[in-house]
Amino acid sequence: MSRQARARSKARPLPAGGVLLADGRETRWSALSRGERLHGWTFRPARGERPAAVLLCTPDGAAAHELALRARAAWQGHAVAVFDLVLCGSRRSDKLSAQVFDPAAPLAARLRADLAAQTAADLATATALLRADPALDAARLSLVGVGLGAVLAREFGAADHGLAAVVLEPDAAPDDAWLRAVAARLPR
Amino acid sequence: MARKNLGDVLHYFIPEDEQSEARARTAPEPGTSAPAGPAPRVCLPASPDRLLWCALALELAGALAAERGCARVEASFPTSALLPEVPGVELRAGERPPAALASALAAVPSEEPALALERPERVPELLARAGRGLDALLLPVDASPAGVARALRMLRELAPALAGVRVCAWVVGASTALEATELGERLAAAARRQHGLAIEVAPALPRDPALFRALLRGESLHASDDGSGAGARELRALSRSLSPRRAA
Repeated sequence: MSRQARARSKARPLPAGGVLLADGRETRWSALSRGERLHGWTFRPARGERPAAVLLCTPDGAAAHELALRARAAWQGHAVAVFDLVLCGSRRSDKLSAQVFDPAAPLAARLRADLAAQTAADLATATALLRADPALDAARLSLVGVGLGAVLAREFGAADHGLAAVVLEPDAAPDDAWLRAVAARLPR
Repeated sequence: MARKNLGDVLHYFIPEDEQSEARARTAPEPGTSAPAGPAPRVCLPASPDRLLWCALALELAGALAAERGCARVEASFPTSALLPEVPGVELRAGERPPAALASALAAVPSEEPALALERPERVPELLARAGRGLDALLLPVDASPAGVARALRMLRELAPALAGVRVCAWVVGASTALEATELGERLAAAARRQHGLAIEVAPALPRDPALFRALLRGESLHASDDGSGAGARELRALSRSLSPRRAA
């Protein structure tokens, strides 16, 4: 049995409400996470079958962040997956986001646990979806977060989810040197 | 009595702000006739690692090309293979000193718009070499307080070289038009107060996931968008704002 066929036979089921739509090198995906619908994208490299994948949590938690573009350029051979973290990007709330992410705001302390629980559920759903994607190598899935993305992903990253690598650095400056350092820690 | 159908009464249920937004979307844009006079020459400070800014410079050149037929982007460094190919835009990129970039700009035909991508630390030399051959410095600003602080730091370094240069701040990635306006005005006020610089606030580019996904796929907005998206509209507004000054 070829490696590819073996991988297909081990394909994991999609999480609740999960959808994968491949379009060229891009896969749009969506699933339910604690009743909220997540939307994300995976961008695969131009070469290589079933590449390793990195789930990237950006400095402001939004999928539409320049770091995703730079990560694609820097982590050649890896697919990069992004989605809007809770209350970020398209999930931003004019009422809540500013207060929840401001540690000095009283609401931040009250909602911290719920925010962590939602993020952990979102990341569990996203990793399940990525592992179910037959175009990716489920065994080489990593989680990388920086800035707010790292802060939000901390609880999920602290538990063992069988990820190949976990890099969460809230205080790092995501410059080229950081991207290169992260690349060295990602599975080949 | 004439009977009304759903189309006649639908506007009762649409808030006035949504109606005005829809009217603005469908109204003809001012100045859509082909612009006359010399095409703009604009310098955009960006280092090679700012892929988003380099990609947006190409997309802006695409908007200028749509007005003028073609446009040129001259970069003083090699650019990433992930940057999109934009219809009508010729990209010439390679490691070269500011003097060579200034010469390349001078060689572009006057009717062809041109954007120069130069590392921020080398912009003063480019401005000195290009002289009056550059119409404006377009300064991209990340839509965040940290982005405004970075832009101010860059302006502090560039201030001695900016006498007589039109400087436009381009706020990129704001969630709302109001946020973009506020950040632009805050930057302009701080630049005036701290460095004595008069900064124009150029039409902002809002956060547009569709534009971003196109860039992640390595596709140009101009190749995939029908022109009605927020990103395409704002790029056209910016290209128009860059054009008329030199013709006046």
